[in-house]
Amino acid sequence: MADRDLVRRACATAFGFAALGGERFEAHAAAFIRSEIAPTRHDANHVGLVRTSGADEIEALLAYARSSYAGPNRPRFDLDALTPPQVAARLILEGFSSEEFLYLILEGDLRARRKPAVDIREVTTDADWQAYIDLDLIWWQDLAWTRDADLVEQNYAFERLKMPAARYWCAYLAGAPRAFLAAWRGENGVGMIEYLFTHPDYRHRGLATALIAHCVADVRKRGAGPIVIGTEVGDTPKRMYAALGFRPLMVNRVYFPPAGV
Amino acid sequence: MNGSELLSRACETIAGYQALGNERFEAHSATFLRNAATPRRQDANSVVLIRSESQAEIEALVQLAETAYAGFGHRRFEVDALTPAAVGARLTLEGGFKIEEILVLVLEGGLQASPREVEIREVSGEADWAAYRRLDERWWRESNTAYFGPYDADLHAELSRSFRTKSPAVRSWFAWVDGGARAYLSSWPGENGVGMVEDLFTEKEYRHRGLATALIAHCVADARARGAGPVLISADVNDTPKQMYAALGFRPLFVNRAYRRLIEPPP
Repeated sequence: MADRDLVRRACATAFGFAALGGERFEAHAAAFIRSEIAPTRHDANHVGLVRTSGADEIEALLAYARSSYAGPNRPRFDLDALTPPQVAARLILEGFSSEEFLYLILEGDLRARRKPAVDIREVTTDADWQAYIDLDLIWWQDLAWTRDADLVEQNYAFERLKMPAARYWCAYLAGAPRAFLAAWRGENGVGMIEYLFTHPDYRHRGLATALIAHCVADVRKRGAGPIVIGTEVGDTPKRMYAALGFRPLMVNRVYFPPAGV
Repeated sequence: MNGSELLSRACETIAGYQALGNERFEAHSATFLRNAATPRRQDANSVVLIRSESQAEIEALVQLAETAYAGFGHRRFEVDALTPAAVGARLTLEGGFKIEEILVLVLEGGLQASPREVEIREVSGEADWAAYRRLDERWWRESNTAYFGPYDADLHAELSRSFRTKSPAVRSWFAWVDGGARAYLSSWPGENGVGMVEDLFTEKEYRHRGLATALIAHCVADARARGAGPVLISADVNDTPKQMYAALGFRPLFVNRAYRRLIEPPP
């Protein structure tokens, strides 16, 4: 697959994964995700795959985006490698601020030295899902995110809707899930793995590597070739992904509207 | 000029301005700018117009930068509107870079302003350049310590020397009030029909009197008289002048990102 084609598909896959579980529609040469059950979850309510470049078209897109989301919140814009540069320039003028995410891609085999024997189980039952949530909340705690009960509830209600298209996997150790990862085969030959987390007490035991190997195999069995993974740019996992054979493909930027607008 | 042609020429103009006065060579689908006489002027020692696509070519580019800028105190790569996505990703993976984001705006039609009468003088001769440097020192002390650190006269002399090598292709102008230079701006027509105005500063005590607008009007006219059609102007993404430029009719075109990493000097 030529790099440009790979980038195009990777952009579609990254947006497609975020859109799973939400209402998706297209307008003004962009794609929109909206979620009634999770109205405050950023990635469930955003604009992506923006492909318009003319000044008037960008204005029309911004106006349409403002009118398409209920409440005072304006949506965030996820600008990817194929978004015309005029769009970011326009958002910056309006006071949007951005965060960067690095996407890496695995085309060949995973370069894992050995496969540690790890008990990996798919999240399928209500009990599995609750165990996943309990582990995920430790991650929230790590990030010092709010534990607001409403927000937590809408967050997981939305996330669960990504199943069964996406499959969630937990690595079990000492009778409980200690790490998780989600996997999606994608719709264009490029798959994605996302939401990697290991409980702080169980790191450096190969759980993450085992989950990545498992999920890569799973999405490839279901039809994907190349597989993307996203990471915060300042985060350390990017080096681990690179060591496993993922190569840096693109930096996407999430633009948040100015506060108080 | 259609949208993609304008974007392509705008990237060339931004890089071309930096290239003026410096050594320039092409390798691995990129342009290397270098000037051993002004090694601390970072935008004069920088890789620009990077169009490398493949992983192998990007690696070769990064390696060549190590050789080409051996002994320099920094590495600098410019990721512009047409740089392939894998380049920014490769630099991000390496880490250690600070990203300086510059918003580039373009004026295609007439300036939306009726500038007031201000005396504009071209910077020419040693006395003028000394005056330019005095104003420039104020700019440094006021707004640029975050970038260059505390004021350093020796470094300032080196940066000024680098800037003057762009003359006479680049013309610099003063707004002259109360018997002295109170604001400056430079103009360049470019080499492909897209020009640029650059390095705007107004002394604190003389702000909000229309000096900047008068200088922009003058410099746009000069760039156009020397062959430019569209004219670019740059602004720090977090700074306020971008709103003023937009009010004057400049529209946002792209964000230029300089990935900058400082190198520890050898002991």
